[in-house]
Amino acid sequence: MEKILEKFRKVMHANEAAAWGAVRSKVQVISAYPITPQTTVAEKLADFVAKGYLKAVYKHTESEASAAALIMAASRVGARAFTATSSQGLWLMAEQIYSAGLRRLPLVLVNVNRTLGPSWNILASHEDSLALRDIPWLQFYAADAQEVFDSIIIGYKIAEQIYSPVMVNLDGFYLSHASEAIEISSQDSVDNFLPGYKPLYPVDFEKPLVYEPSIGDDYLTEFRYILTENLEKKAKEAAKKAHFEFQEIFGRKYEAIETYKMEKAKIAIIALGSVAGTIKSAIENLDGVGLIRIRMFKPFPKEELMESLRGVETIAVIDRDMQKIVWREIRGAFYAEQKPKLLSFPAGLGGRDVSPRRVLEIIERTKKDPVRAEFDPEPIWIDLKETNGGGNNFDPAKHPAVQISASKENILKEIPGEEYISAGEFSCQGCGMMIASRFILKGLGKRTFELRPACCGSVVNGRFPNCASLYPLQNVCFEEAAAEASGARAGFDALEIEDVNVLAFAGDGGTYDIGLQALSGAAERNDDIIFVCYDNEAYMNTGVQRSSSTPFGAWSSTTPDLKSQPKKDIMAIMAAHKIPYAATASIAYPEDLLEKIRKAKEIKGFKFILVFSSCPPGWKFSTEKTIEVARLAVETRIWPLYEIFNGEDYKASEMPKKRIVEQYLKIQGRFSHLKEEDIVSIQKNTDKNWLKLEKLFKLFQE
Amino acid sequence: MLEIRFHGRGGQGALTAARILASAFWKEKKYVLVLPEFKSERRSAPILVGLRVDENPIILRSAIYAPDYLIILDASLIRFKQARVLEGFKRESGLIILNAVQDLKYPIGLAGCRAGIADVDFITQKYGLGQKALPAVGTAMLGVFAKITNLLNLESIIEATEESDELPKKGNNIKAVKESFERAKMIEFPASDKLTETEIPPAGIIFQDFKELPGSVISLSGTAKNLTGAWRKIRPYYQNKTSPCQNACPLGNDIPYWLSLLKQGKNRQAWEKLMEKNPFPAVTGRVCRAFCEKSCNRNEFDESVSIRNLEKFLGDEASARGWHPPVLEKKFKPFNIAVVGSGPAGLSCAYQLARKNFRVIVFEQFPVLGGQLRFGIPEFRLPKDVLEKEINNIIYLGVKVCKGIFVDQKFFETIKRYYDAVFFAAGLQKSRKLNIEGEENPDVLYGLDFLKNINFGNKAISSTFLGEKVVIIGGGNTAIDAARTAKRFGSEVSIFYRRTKIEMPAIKEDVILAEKEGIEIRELLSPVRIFSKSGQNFLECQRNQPGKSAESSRNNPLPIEGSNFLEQFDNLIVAVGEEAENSFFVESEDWKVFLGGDIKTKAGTVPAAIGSGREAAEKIEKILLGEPPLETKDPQIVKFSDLNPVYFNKNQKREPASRSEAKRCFSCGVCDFCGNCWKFCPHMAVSEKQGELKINYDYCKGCGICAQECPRSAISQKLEE
Repeated sequence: MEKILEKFRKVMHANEAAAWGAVRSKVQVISAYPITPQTTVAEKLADFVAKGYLKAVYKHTESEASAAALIMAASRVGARAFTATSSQGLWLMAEQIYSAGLRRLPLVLVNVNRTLGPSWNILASHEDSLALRDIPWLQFYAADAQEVFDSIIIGYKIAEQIYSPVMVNLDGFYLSHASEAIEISSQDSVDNFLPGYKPLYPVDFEKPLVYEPSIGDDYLTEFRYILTENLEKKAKEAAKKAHFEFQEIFGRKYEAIETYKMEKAKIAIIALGSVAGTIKSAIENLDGVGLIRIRMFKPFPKEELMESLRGVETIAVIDRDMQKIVWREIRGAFYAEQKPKLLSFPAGLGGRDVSPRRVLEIIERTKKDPVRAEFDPEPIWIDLKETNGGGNNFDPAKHPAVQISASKENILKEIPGEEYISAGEFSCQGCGMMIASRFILKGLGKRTFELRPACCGSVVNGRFPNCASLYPLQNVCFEEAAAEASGARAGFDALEIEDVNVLAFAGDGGTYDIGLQALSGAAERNDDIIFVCYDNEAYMNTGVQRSSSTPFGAWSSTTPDLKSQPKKDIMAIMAAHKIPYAATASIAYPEDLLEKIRKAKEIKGFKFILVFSSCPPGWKFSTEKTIEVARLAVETRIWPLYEIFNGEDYKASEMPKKRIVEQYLKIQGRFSHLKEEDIVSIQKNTDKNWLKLEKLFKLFQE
Repeated sequence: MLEIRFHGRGGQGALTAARILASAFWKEKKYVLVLPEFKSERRSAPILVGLRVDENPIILRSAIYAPDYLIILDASLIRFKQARVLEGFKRESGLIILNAVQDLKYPIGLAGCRAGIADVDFITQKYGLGQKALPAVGTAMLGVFAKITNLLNLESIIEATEESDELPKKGNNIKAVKESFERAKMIEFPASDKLTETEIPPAGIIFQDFKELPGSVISLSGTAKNLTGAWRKIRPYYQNKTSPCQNACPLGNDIPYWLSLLKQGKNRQAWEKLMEKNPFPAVTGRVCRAFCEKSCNRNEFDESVSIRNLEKFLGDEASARGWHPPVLEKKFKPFNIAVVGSGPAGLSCAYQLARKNFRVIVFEQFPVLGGQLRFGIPEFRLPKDVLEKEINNIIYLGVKVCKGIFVDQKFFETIKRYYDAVFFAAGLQKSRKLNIEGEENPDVLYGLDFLKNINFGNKAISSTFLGEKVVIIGGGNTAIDAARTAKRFGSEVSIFYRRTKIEMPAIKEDVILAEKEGIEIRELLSPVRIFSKSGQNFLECQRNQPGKSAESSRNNPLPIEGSNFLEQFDNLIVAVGEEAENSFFVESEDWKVFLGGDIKTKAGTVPAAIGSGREAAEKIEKILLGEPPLETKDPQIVKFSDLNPVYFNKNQKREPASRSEAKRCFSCGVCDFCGNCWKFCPHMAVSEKQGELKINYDYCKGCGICAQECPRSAISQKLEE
């Protein structure tokens, strides 16, 4: 423990560095939601809290909006609060974080930059945070793991001085997953730099305040003015001061911008983030070429930039987004000043590598390009293959649909032979979800339109231009599968197309957690859709983080000391909606699953089917045991098979002979740390639940 | 600056290994940067991770394009273009660290390269790292790297491994690192083009011409071109194994095969399958000792399948419906074969050869066919008309018969000269004697002779042929048959057996029936002498106690001194085995003389005799046609623990045995098209065409579910080469 507090150096990735930044900043409340690739920040913090490196309250939320909201209130009541997110996650937080700026909560949020989807890509782009340029926050972009660690500490220093939140950005994969040796400063030195947090207007029960009441036009303008003053002038002063103090204590120098070889530069490259290192190494031996890396993007360091760019003839801005956002900021800064040639080079999108060769190409293009005096020249796309505009040449006839082939002719007459999923898909060996998916489509047939939110299924289905699903499927955002399904049904209804199955196919995260609101909405409206949740009891797509479906006692990467809450009873929730049909099923009993799907197909209204889908890597069992695990779940009554009609009439499906839960638990690594008493308590709860169900079944029989 | 690139599969630990190697270099005062280059690859899919090492701080953060070192965790990746293993590699100056066996068969594209290799799969599996289907070799590869490159100390790697907080089983990983270090060898691939095999092209549709891109991201055409078979480490394959019933059957009856057909209601096909090895199903269905049922795996589940009764069911159905076995080969074979003896062995041999269209003649000393089947087994166990029908089936195939001809030595020599091959199965006709004092007493009869007399309807036998009190000596089928026959004369019958009842070699059911019929079985008694006194016959017996025997599963009885007693009898029937009447025959492949039946097997059972006939027929066929003999492999016998019993329901034997009873058969080791492999394959890699299940190795990822969920162990698995 003592050692943990000392200064040390270690090879680590920037996500771990971020976690250490939070540890050294002694954050008191942490919230997290599993969005790749920030997830290892959350996992590391969960681990550090479990190990006692950090005394903090750790909350794993059910959505990104809640992750943001949770730390906002924590900050309001006086706790130093932290979260990390990435791309979609940041956008899910958008409403919350805008409000956090208005509420002047000194939060630090780590955002791992990556592309927005769908289409899912998960690799580096700056479009997520740059497109939120105008939220009332400060934004920093780090170039290496050391800077990530340092920026979090500096971030709190500034935030708590001016009472505005700070976003620390780092490039997905280029930083988040890359490892290098960095220094973790001692706790004492950080404590020295960063004293305790005092809220702007603390909660006081003697002198109570109402925070952010509604406001009229008589005052709003003034408050907005105060805020902009704060986010511009005050923020810049505070940053300067913090950087100076930081250097005094830690010896590492940071400024709003970093310059390299700018003294004699005629050409300047301007970039954000990790690509700076590559640019430096590319221009190391080039005369007259320099680099400016903008570290603090908001507030925009106009003065420093102007100063550094004096005498520069051409500026090449590397925009890691498609809207040349950084270029626009710079153009804005130059409006009243000298007008050097200013070019935008969109590059590095979706993780495409910006190599030293590309950097040299940018310099060449910069030199060759005629002087462009016009205000808004076309961006110069680097490393771009010629597409001939807008997909006009796309010829669907050249890509005929794959014939659905029967993989089976006459062995099992009761199961349709047609396969609606192409072999060659990308799932892990022994994937349970694939079996669920196969049988659902066998039951529904080819006139099925599927809405699939972010989940394993959206990734393993394949990447452009090859996807395994041989029926129409729309990839949708994490939380809205049910709403999009409602929309698809509405569209078909409007067009009077009747013989279509609308299917939402989500994981447990997209059902129990982030998808619950939309699910509840669609169920209450009794929209005519089939919502299937393939339940693998954690966020498998992002690296086995807990969900509210994770059972009691299971290991997950964010519950290193095992989950202490029971699994959410989603069936009871769905029953409470009084939907015409809800059922549990299991991949170990495909005939039963098929029958339930066929039933759902016939019933009008909202149908919910919960399919147990075992996951070898996430549950830590070897790949051949997928079915065995699923079967044991049913046999032990951990996963009873039943149907609920109209939310009231419970009907048991055919159940095999009963076994004790230990047989199910002991073949899975995720339960390997369970103690005797835990197993006893799981058995007890399973028995209780089964007894309750049996009573409900009986009720129906009468 | 050194540039190293790791190539592995998701789950093999490439990233963790790169981080450990980075830490190890950093311990030796080098600057490092690990750059993973993967997207959303799943477990087992190819991934790559870069590592830069330098004396100075590393600012270059772009991907590695021209690595100095390749660390290849899985040699099979090299062939796959999409894995980009050799892309940009500095062939001349660079070095490869390869997980492979020493005599690597396919150095695919590595011609002229230098490599440090070790069989790290083997090492990591030894230490239980990762899964069988995907050993976690990443860290252990660093041992090979340290040894071959000499760029850093092994100790640094071990320390870095110890400090890693991502690695499970650190102790075993360190052991594996050390062992890889020890076993690492340097090899140089010859610069010959012959070694370069074709690469497997990238998967799926690739837009060569981006002008054809659609206006938004839409996917096309499925993933069929993505050959996920490249992920597979373990290959499942259909392999029928030997069921314990078939293994136990002296005639090698393909029990699970014909039962499987019977299950499907294909009775005629089932009977034909059954007839391939056994031309006497109706007979053996009545008189066989059913070793199959004793070894049936179902015994460990509920109770054995009534195989014998099912055999009887099919045999009887065949004769009721008048089915005849088909001649298998149209082409007539110009060879003459003589069969001596028309017992089960002789007729079985004749049957097999006739089916293959050889010309066969059977010599029989009695005027009727059937040998032991006819005269050794009483009518109540084997009705003569049942036997007749099955014999007729054999004759129907075109077998010639010479009845009433006793083959003595002289005639035997003649036959040898005139026939291309001789099968000699004249049986054991002479009853073995007790060889005790007083055995010559006329009231002492011999089991086989007794049965023969009755079966041949000898007129000397009247209802008063036997006395009131009959004692049988022996415990085999002949003893039981004799006892039950004697009982039918109205006598009081007891069987004296030197061991215990459960050790009797006779058919268990018959023993039970005998007792039901009122026959007393007295255990652990050995006859000592026979004498007559005042018109009464006496047998002096000695009591035994069960002894222990190391060699045999049966106990060797030990006589108890002074336990002798006397037993009065009217008739004593000795049934302690039989022996051959003459011994001029010698088996010789040169003379094309083959022996069969009891003479050869000494087993004294009908199925053994039938089996010996078939085996001889096979030999004769091969020798006459000049074909190499059939290879016999050690059978892989399916144990109960090899099965997946969840797919079976517990239920007792069904009477009478028919299709529903056949459905109880597990079909141990024999695919019966239950379809589980197809049903549960997550990767659409199992298909059925024309009634045949197939694994598509282009896509099979080797998860092993099919083998695991096969109820009957008909799918085997092996490591991919």
